[in-house]
Amino acid sequence: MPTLQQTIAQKFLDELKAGKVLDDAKVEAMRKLLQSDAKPKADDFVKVFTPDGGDVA
Amino acid sequence: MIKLESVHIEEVRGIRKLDVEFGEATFAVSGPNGSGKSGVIDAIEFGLTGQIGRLMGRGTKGLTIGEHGPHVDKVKFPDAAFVQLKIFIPSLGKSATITRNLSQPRKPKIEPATAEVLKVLAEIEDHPEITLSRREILRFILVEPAKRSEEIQTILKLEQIGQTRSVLNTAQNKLQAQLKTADALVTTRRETLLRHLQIGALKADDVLAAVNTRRKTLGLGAIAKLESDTKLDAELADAGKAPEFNKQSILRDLKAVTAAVAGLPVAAKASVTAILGVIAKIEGDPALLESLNRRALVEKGLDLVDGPECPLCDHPWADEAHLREHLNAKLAKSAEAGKLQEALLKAAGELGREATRLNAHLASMQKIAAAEADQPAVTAIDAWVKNLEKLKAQLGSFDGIMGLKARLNADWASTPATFGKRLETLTKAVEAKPDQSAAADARTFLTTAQLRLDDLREARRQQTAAAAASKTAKATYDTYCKVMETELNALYEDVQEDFSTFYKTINEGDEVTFTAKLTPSAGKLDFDVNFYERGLFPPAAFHSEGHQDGMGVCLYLALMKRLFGDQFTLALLDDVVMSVDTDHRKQFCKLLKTAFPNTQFIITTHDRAWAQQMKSAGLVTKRTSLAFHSWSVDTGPLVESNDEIWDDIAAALAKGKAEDAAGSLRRHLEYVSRQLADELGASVVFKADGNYELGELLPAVVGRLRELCGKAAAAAQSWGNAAAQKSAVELKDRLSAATGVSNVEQWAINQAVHYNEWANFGKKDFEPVVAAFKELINCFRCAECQSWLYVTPHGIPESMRCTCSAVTMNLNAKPK
Repeated sequence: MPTLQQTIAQKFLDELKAGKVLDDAKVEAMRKLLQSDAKPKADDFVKVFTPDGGDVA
Repeated sequence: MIKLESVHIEEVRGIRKLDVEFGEATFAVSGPNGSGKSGVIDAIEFGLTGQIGRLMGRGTKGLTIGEHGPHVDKVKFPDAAFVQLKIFIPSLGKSATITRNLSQPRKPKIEPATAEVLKVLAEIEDHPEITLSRREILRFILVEPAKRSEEIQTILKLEQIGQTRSVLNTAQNKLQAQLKTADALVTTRRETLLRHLQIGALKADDVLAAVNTRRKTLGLGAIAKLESDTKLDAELADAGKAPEFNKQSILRDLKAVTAAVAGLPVAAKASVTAILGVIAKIEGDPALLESLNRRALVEKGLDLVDGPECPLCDHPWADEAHLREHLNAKLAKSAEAGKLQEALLKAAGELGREATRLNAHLASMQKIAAAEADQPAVTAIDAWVKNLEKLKAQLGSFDGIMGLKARLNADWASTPATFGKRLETLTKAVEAKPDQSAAADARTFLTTAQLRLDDLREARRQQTAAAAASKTAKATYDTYCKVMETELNALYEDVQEDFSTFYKTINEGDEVTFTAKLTPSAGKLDFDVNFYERGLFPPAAFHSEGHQDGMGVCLYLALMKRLFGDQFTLALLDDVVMSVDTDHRKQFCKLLKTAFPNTQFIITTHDRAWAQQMKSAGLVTKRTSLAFHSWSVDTGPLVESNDEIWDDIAAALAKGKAEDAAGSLRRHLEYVSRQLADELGASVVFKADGNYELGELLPAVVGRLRELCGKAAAAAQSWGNAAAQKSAVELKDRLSAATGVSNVEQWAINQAVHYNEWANFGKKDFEPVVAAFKELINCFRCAECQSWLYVTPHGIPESMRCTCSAVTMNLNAKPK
């Protein structure tokens, strides 16, 4: 039986994917952070949110 | 998830050695305060999760499982302290055994250690909320609304949800700050380019007009369109090289520096005023300062937490979650200080950006000074830039800002005294240079323009990336908050309905129209209950403490049902209905039986009457209840119905502790007498407080058995049943002999043999007393099955018998 935290985390990831807030690779990165034994730090999330390359004309 | 079959406890908390057979059924453990009941709950909780809730959380500073989990005599030998639980897993149809040692709480031995069993046990570890104590349920009844959702989240160990939200919020704030910095860089670089091009706005036409004029001077083709990769110095022989000196541009740069420095007193005035205002407030309130200082330390500590040890003092906590809970609770207490801190850091951020803008001007001036070989100016500017960087660093922390009071009151920028002179000297030096030829001016203009355009484009790229990251962070944070609130709101809605139903069950006939309302809003959770249709009020407004206790348990049960559904198969309830009265407790038994028929409850209570009530209500049986009559540090809990009592008494006498032996014998006889008075229907003078002494019970019980034996003999004789008559007479004779030896009927008239004197007997005098009462008590048992004799039916007995029917004595004489 999943904990409420796990339920919320899964629904959160599903919403991110459905709403295209993050692409699949970044949703996967979020999933790994949330499921890791080590508690994610803010900088871990900052890395996920920062665009790859970052170069937009 | 699981049910408990049995537990073996050694040297854990107040328990030396104890075996309990739960048989997967609801089980009651009763006993007076301090008899070890909660120790059983602690041991079960430890066996299942490796934690002991009573040693963690608020108010448990300094308590640890390592130091306070083992029995006090075994603290230095934690290997001797362990719990072995045998569990049944309904979903697998299998049993498993968990052995967990206090010296290694995170490394239980599990048999069988199959993947499916390990998965179930890992789930249990994730759900420590199966254990509920009174101090916990009160927290979400009697707490203010702003704290209630936190309290419910705490009791359900949901702090990870809040932590995740907090970390996402921090990431969002960091990226927002980075975006502001990127915005400032774009502004600075745009201004630098505009200043060089001598245009008012960065419009393509204006840029091209300024550029193409110079290109024409050099005989280069005009640029028709300004695109993202346009090179303003295209086709120039020096294109891409570091620009040469362009006198007019440099003079404009120096003019901009002059204007910026002149404007320093006004620049960031609002930020400086705001910071000084907060500093004044803090200095005027020492308690506020202490709160803020602690806050800074706690926030830093939270950032550094990476395991169960405190990052400051290395003090080990049971686990990281509890350390974080402790630190977050400290932060929550300083909310007002937190708001001030937020205002302070915001103003400091704005002032920091002003310093960055000033540094951008100084950087361009430093390049000019270097080109002019004005080393003293270069050195002076370098020193000032470093000073401003130091200011920015100080503005990044609470302590740093507090140390800036004097600087902010004087001149936040700390403009060097000689700076004006140096700037004037440098400007004059540049002015004195010969004007460049038109060609040289055009060439250097274009190369400088291209460089500054490249800088601006790069700044824009960074700004775009920062904006995208900030937007993504905000969208992600908002998504998390939305999902979290949706789930919690759904939880509260379902819970509210079940809570009302459960509460009405407990208060049947009393509050038939009871309703409750859980209303989450903006981080709070209002909890109001209907009071006899006079309206909705907080529980503590009009409801009694007993009703509030009942509410607490009902809310807990409703939460568990919502969270676990039909997998809610085990709950440990540690004295949770202390203030609930007899009638309502009867209804509580009904609630557990009817609403949770598949849940095994392990219930502790100090109330003997309620322990009995649970049996009467059919919630537990004699087999599924355990009564402790006392506790000592040497023995741990002493079980009332324990037949090893005679061994315990002998052991105490062997050690020369006649007083202890006397106490044990008396308590055992009191327990047995109560049982027998009930089983045989003995007549005892009624006492409203129910506190019957041994002298009131045992003589009455002895008299009753004698009476019943007499009746049985007379009845057997009337039926011509010689064998039955003989049995009844033999039992009566045996009872008389045992009564005589024990002197139980002499208590009222012979002080010397009264049980109050036992404590004064020596070993030799007391041993015969023990033997006599052992024999007396055996008169009331069946020799075959060892069960107590009882009459049936209870009201007007027709027979006296035992459980196995080896003893069956008819009490009704043959009708004449």
